[in-house]
Order: sequence, then structure tokens, then C-alpha cells
Amino acid sequence: MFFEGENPNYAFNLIVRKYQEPVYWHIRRMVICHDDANDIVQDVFFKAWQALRSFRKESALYTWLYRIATNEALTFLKKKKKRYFLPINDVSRILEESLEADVYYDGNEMEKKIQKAILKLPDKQRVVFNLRYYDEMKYEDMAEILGTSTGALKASYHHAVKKIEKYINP
Amino acid sequence: MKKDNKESIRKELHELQSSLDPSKDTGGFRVPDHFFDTLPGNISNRLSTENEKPAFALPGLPTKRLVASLVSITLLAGILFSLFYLQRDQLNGYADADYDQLMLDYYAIQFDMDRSALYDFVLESGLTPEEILFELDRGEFIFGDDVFDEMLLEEIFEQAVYYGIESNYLLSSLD
Repeated sequence: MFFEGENPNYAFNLIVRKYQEPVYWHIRRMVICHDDANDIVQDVFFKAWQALRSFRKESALYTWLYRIATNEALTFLKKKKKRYFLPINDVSRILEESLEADVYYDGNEMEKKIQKAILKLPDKQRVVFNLRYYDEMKYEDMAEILGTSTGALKASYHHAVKKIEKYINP
Repeated sequence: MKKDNKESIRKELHELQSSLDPSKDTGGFRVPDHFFDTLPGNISNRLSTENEKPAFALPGLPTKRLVASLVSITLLAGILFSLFYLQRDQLNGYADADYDQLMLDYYAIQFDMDRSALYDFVLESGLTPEEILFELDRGEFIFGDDVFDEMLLEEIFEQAVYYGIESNYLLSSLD
């Protein structure tokens, strides 16, 4: 597909320009810190470039990129947990500190409270919540990205909403 | 990107009796000025830099990536074999202090290894998800009680998620 043309670099550059923002924001919401998100988004597009020949054309390009981005973000968080010897689903404190310290965060009081509530969710539930709530993604597309049934995703999202609600309106 | 109707998302939140409103919540994150103007250039530069790196190549072997993949697979298989061998010795009362060191080494390698080479290998192998599961299913070590089994299971789940396989499906297939 992309390698059939005369200038694959040009074609890939177009892909980067088209998808850089949604991919970046998806990663940023997961890892919080801008510098980390910047590194990871570059890794994502680098890996996408390397794997472009293996890209299965039956899936949409953006769901494929989201899948790589999700995988990279979760791997990053996992490494962070290992580095700090944290329990497997408890990196929220570190991420909250990143949120407070990040100069590129200026959410209002309610936005910050919601972010802190989201950070208390398990990583994979955070992915589900962010994709639905912020990216306004259809469950069918989320299912393709996360390899889960739409029913399971709906249940996960609903649980996430309840947990966040309980946190912000105790 | 195919977005869902904002109204359907709001309706869903309403049905959940939630006060959350995505239209009033941007998350609060921002980026440095001109970040998205410069990002494509940074990515392009990185691609150029990586492509210019001298490739390690052995005559007669197809690609650097394949060699790296095979080395990774061999390394992983060797580590696992050693561990199971040691575990058996431990059960028989032959373990010593070196066992702890080996555990630490195993952790270090397991967590730091670049799994992309393994993914590439599997992708290039053309194995279907069912075949990957079959390969995994052959390991008798998956459902033990010790920490290595848990770590291995976690690794397998990661791979499963990467390839779009549900963990529940994976578990039921292995059970």
C-alpha cells in the first residue's frame, strides 16, 4: 500500500500529520507527563513505520495505530511500576504527582479532580474510559483496538463512570 | 477517526446518573507551543537516524531483524529451561544461594528485554492466534503456584492483548 508509491516517506509523513494529535492525546492521558508522552508517541510512529509492511489492511489504520499506542503506553506504565516496586495496579500516586508537577497541565479544579479519579482506575479500565469519554470512540472500534467484546467494554466503562462519580461526588 | 455521536455518549452518562459532561471537560492537558508543527519533523529525523545506523548482518541470513528475533527467542527459551531445571533441583533439595541471584537475573532480563523483536518474529512467522495459543498451551508450566508462572502468564497476556486476543479466551483455551 504505502510502499507501492514512489515516495513512502512522503506517504508516512502524511499519516503522521493526520494521526499525531489523537495518538499523542491518547498516550498523554495514560502517562500524564508531556515529556514521556512525547517520547512514546515518537516510539509509536517509529514502530508503525517498521511494521507498516505487516499492517493488515482489513483493519483501519487508526485503530492499528491506537493499538500500538495503547500497548506502548501500558508497557511504559508497567516499567514504571517495576522501577518503583509498586503493586501491579497502583501507580496512581506517581501519576498524580506527575499531574501536579507537569508545567503543561492547567486543568481547572473540576478537571483536575476528574483526572485524579481516573488515575485511581486500573490501567486497562483507564484506557477504556479515556477512549470513550475523551476520544468519543465507538465501542466497535474500541473492541478492535483492545481485542475485547463490546459488551465487556460497556461494562468496564460503566464501572469506571460509577467509580469516578463516587470519587468526585462522595 | 469514527467518533460516536456526542449525544449518545451524553445519554449513556445520563442513564448512568452521572454528572460527568465531556463537553465541559477537556482534561486540562496542553502541549508546548508549535509542538504538533515540529513533531512530524522530529519523527522523520528519528527515522533517518535509525536507518543510517550500521546494520549488523551475517552473510546468508535474510535480515538483521530475523537474527535479532532468533537470538531473543533462543535467549528466552534458555532462561526458561534453566529456571525449570533449577526449580526441579530446588524441590529435590539442591538449591543454593545462587538461586536467588539467578532469580534477580531472570527478573532483569525478563523486564528489560525488547519484546518488539519477539512480536516481529511471530508476525513474520505467519502463525495465527490459534497457533500461538497452541504453542503456549504446550508449556506445562503455565498454571503453577510460584512467581515465575505468574510473570510468564502476565507476559503471555501482554502478547495476547497485543494480538487482540481476549484474556478470558486465552485462559479458557489454556484451561
